[in-house]
Amino acid sequence: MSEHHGQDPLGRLRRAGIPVDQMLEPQRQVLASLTEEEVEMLISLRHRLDEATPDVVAHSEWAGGVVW
Amino acid sequence: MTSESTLLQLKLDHAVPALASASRRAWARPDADRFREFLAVCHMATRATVPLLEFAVAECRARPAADEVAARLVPFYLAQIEEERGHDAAVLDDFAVAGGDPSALLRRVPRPEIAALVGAQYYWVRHSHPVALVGHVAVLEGYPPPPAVLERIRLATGLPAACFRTLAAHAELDRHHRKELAEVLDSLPLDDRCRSLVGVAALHAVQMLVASVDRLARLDTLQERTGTHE
Repeated sequence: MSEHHGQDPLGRLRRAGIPVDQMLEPQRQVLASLTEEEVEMLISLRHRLDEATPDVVAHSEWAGGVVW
Repeated sequence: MTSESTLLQLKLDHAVPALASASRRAWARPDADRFREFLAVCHMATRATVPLLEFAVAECRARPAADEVAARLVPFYLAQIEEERGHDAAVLDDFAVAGGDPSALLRRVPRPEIAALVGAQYYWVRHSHPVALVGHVAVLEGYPPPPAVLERIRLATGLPAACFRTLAAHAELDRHHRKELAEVLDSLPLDDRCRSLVGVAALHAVQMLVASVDRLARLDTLQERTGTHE
């Protein structure tokens, strides 16, 4: 049984504010192949980003959380 | 054809900005209590590293002989065990140098975000496939702290340089580890299910790290003690 792919991943990501139309084709293809779970998680993380207040001055980026 | 590591990276490129945003908030105004709590949370995560890898090796070996992905993961996970062994003790040492009480930390109930981060791996490794751990490691080793950020935190907190030792070492080590992980990932004959599992595991790691770092950003230094010396 193949992995569950939901309806229209690109459309859902676009509606969540992810700029799929500005991406190069290879990237769009990757996003178009995402499973339902992966789409849900990316949308959830996008919402987290959108809710953050932009009042923090950007310093050198550290995208990490804990060490392995 | 796009490599497996590139596929994973393309997925993470859209997830990691949320973690970077949380990190910016957490470290906008560094203070000693917040850094000690960060080391405490790091210890909660790293104390699980070797046991989780050992569990994954056992699960790989229990898979059918025809499972080539599981077979190829064993030497990688075994090598990771040797490289990561002792890192939790090093973090605990740094925590003590920063003024934390190691015995109090070991008595604390670990944070739910870290339990969910690590616990999900036990679930997926046992009940789906041990390749899930590759997604987890890709995130935890993928974004080490830039030296400039560590220096800024050190100067702002006034804490000794020695308590940044493990984080600084990871900044170097993880560059090498990321390349190794990409090579291993690209060598695996993943089917759609395993590819999706690696992606889901990686995105879950980002979600839990965002939750953990967000909580660090909200830390009330009067309410959350890490057993610091008075």
